Amino acid sequence: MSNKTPIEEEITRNLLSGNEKAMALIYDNYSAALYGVCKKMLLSTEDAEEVFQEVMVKIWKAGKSFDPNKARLYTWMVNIVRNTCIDLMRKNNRRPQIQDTDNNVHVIEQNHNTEFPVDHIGLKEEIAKLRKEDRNVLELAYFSGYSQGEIAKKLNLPLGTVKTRARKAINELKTLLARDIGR
Amino acid sequence: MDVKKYIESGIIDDYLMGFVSEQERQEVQCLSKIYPEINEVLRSSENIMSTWAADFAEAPPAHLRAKILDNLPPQEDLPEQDPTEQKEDKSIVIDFSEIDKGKDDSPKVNYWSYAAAIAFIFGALMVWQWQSARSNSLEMKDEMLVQQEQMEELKNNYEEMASSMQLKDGLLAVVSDPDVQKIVMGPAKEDMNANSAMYWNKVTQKAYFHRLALPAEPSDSQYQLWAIVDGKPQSLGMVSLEENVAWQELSTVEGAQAFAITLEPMGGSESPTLENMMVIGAVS
Repeated sequence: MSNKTPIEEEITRNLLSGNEKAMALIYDNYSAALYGVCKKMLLSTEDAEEVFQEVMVKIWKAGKSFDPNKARLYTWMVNIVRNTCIDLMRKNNRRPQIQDTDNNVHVIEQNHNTEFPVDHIGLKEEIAKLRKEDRNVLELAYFSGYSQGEIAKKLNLPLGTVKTRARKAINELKTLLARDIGR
Repeated sequence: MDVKKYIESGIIDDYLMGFVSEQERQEVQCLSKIYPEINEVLRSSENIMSTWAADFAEAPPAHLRAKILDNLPPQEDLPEQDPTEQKEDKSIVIDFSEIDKGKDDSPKVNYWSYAAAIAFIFGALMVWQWQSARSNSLEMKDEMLVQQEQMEELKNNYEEMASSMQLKDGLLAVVSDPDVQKIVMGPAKEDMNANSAMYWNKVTQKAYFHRLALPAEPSDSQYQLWAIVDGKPQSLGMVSLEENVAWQELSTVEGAQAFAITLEPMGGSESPTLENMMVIGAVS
């Protein structure tokens, strides 16, 4: 967890000392990434907006317990987003339908990401290199919270293949993204 | 445990995907807290996944910024639970509408439906308990180890007590023997606060020492026991320095006229240092 960006450090400092400035900085630097995950997981704009607001409050409330030695700020926040979305899906007993990810339109507002610790343009190119079948499995598991068995059933694949594809996709991501982490 | 093998098994990625059983989930969480190598792999995989998630970035509607930032509640010092910990889904949904179906509209109480509801809830609880007992088998193993240790400790305590009882039984037998005489050893000087007793079997000539109330020895000294035979002191050995040793069986002594205790350098002296005499008692 070394090589923190200056903005991560500034946010962490403010978050731990209970300064509301932390939340403004989080909003200006990470709202697109966090809201994007909400949208990706819940699909409905209404749900995504509701959960995104809940997540921001959770980040603020739990902020003093954030340990920069244990997790990276951004990853910690994404984990909060995922858990909150999964909670809502369970509560509503509803999961997004399987989508063709290529048809999803991502509006990236560059102004909101000036200090974001990942190079988006490079990232997009690298992720495009992932095999669609592998990426699909990864998205279903990571964003939709489907179990291995459910994915196998939905995609009509043997159980083992689901795991193999997910692992393959993660390993490729590791190779592709390793250089972006911690920038 | 072979940490390298565990990491190479790919279970950490499976954990991130949610492709693990409840037991495996707890295992990864637990082991990542114990082994820094596992923790590092888990964190770096999480970082990879969250970086990937940034690929789906989408700006939220502009009006949310003020709505969120102007309405932040007071920050809590300690949240009830780390919001990032993966939770176990233990919720049980009991559909009460099913139970209520049998109810008629009259105010009369339908005891059967209540009984059925209670039986159902009880049954659900039993199932839940059984499931959580199964899923917590790892925790139970730890608990069993702790309990085993406690049992071991209790066993040791019991053995100590049993041996102490045995000793006391033996001493009771000694003091209740009609051939045994009790010789009270009082303070050698008037202002001293010391008392001890010697139990001496005139037939077998065996002596038993009871410490009673002797002041604690200075660190470099030890109490020495003496018998006065034909007017001359004869060493009976040292008073034990061990704690909780109240009774000592001594060597045989013939024709003792008196018993005494002196404070001597560690290990004892050839002849008693009379000015350091603590207690003395004559055989009647």
